[in-house]
Amino acid sequence: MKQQRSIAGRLALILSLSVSALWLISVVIAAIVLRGELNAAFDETMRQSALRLLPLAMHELDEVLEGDADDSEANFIANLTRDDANLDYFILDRSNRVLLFSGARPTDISSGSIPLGFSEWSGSRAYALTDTESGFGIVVSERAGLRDNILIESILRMFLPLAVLIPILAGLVFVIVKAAMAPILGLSAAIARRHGRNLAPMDMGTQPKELQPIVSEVEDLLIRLKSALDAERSFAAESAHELRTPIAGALAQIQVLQSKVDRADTVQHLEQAEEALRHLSHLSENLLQFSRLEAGFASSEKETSLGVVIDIVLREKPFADAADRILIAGSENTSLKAFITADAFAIVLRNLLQNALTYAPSGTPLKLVVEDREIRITNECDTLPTELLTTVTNRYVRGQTGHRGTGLGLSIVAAILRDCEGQLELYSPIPGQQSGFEARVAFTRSQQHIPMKEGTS
Amino acid sequence: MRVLLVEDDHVLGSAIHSHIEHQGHGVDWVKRLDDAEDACATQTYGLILLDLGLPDGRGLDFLKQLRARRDDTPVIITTAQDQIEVRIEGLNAGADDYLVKPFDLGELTARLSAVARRYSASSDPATQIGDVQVDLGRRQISSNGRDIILTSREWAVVDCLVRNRGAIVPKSVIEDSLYAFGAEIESNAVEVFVSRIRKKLGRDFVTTSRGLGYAVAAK
Repeated sequence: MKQQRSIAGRLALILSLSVSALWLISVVIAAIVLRGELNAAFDETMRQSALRLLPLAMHELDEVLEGDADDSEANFIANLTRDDANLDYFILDRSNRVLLFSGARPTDISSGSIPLGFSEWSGSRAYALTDTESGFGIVVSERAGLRDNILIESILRMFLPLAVLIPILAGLVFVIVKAAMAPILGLSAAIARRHGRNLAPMDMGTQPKELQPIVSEVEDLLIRLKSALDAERSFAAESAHELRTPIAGALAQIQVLQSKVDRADTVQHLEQAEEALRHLSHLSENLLQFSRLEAGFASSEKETSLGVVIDIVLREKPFADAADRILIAGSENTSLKAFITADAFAIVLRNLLQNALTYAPSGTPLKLVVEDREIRITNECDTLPTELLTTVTNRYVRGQTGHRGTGLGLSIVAAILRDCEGQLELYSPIPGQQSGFEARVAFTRSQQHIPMKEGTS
Repeated sequence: MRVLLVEDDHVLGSAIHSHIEHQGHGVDWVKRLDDAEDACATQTYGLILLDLGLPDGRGLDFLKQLRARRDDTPVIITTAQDQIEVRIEGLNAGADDYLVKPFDLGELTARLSAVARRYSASSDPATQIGDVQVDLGRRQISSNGRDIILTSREWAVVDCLVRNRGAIVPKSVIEDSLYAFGAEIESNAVEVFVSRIRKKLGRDFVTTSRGLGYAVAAK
């Protein structure tokens, strides 16, 4: 089954992703603004540098030009350069001859190749300024990629806190949401404990106001559900009374008539009517058992001792009449207990014994084995086809004999055991034998078990 | 034996009434608990067939009151309620047996005989009295190995005497076993039936104690 994420985990993930996305957008916007500011600041620096350096250079050149310096060669200003200098400059005369320069000797200088003001020159940002009186000009250029490097470095520095904070934020959100959801988890657990046999009101104490309407609605729903189930159970019980009594009356009247008539054809008709009534009685009994099952009567919240139920069922007429055929076995000190109501277990036992009596050859023994957590009922018969074993617990599926069963007995047993988390296993032949049929009922629910609601795992 | 039938369903009640009467028992049939109370106050019964769901109350309450006043009349509960808890409650309240509707009238007869046997002088359903073999449970009687057919009223007298064999049974007790309330009986009805029984089973089967009643031998 697909594992479902908790709300706390989902909230932590969503909030973390949202914060990260917002942060990213902020960083992008900040980067755009920063890029503009950086450009402005660097451009201003270049302009100021040009403004300061040009007079100094003109003064320096005046001294140089008055001396014996070879004016055919540009003067490299070695003492002003550093390997990591971000700005270079060179001084030009009217004829665009380089008189002074810092850094690498500039090449590709021709008339009009460097426009005044800011421009892109040789892959770098450059600023050119000319003194109109002397004709000297200065070009300040910036190291290629400088601005991009600074911008990238700044952006990375803005990302660093995010990388640290996001996991912390996710953890914090998870813990806070978990704590905030404690009342919801409590409510969820309280609802999970409610099922067909436990519809008691939820004593939830003081709840956050957001949950109050839910608690109130669930309480109302539980009350309505309990009322409906009680009504259904009551109806099923009353239906049993209302159906059994007239059937009993009709059956008894037919039996009285049978004892008073002598004509063979009339006796035959009465026998057929009695047989039809008995079948109707069994069928209505099975349908009533289904209706009680629908009302959730099978499962019990506490363990029921089932020994006394076995005694009572075995004293009922069909089983008392076959007492010499029913062999009871089991370990000493066996105490069969299960989370099933006495009535539901009586129906299980009655139907399995009746099934064994119906399909076992006349006079052959049946065996009822009682253990602490299971019962086994075996009877002699031919081996049943495998496909019949897999379908015989379906409604209206009958065995392959001429007996007129209702076809509901085993399906009722299976439904009851599903309801109280027991297991019905059918074997033919009986394990370890060549023929026969065995029905094995195992009660697997343990004391610590908490019933699960449908749709959960 | 005189039986009190407490059953509010007319169809079932009339069938049970007819069946038990046919078996040779006197039957009083009431449909309400207050009528059952009145009947118990004025008559001693050999057995009560008690339905649980009655118009004026629960049969179990009637049973508990019966036992509370130390009335140990055998009671068989006949009910449509098949819940195990109700059965256990009924047996704990003092019922001798429990029959869930619908039931065979043959099963009712067997339970009725079994319960009556538990309360009679002998718990043995088949009894040898002289040359006569009586099986109260199966309603079979034979004399010197020859099956004898008795009418239901004759059976009622035999049943009453055999259940109390060795003791003198007053005529009034035999009359109570014969007829239900309101039934017309002749003043010499018991003598007539005893006479018929003697013709079928032999003179010595029933002895007369003048002014006291009738008896069958202990063995």
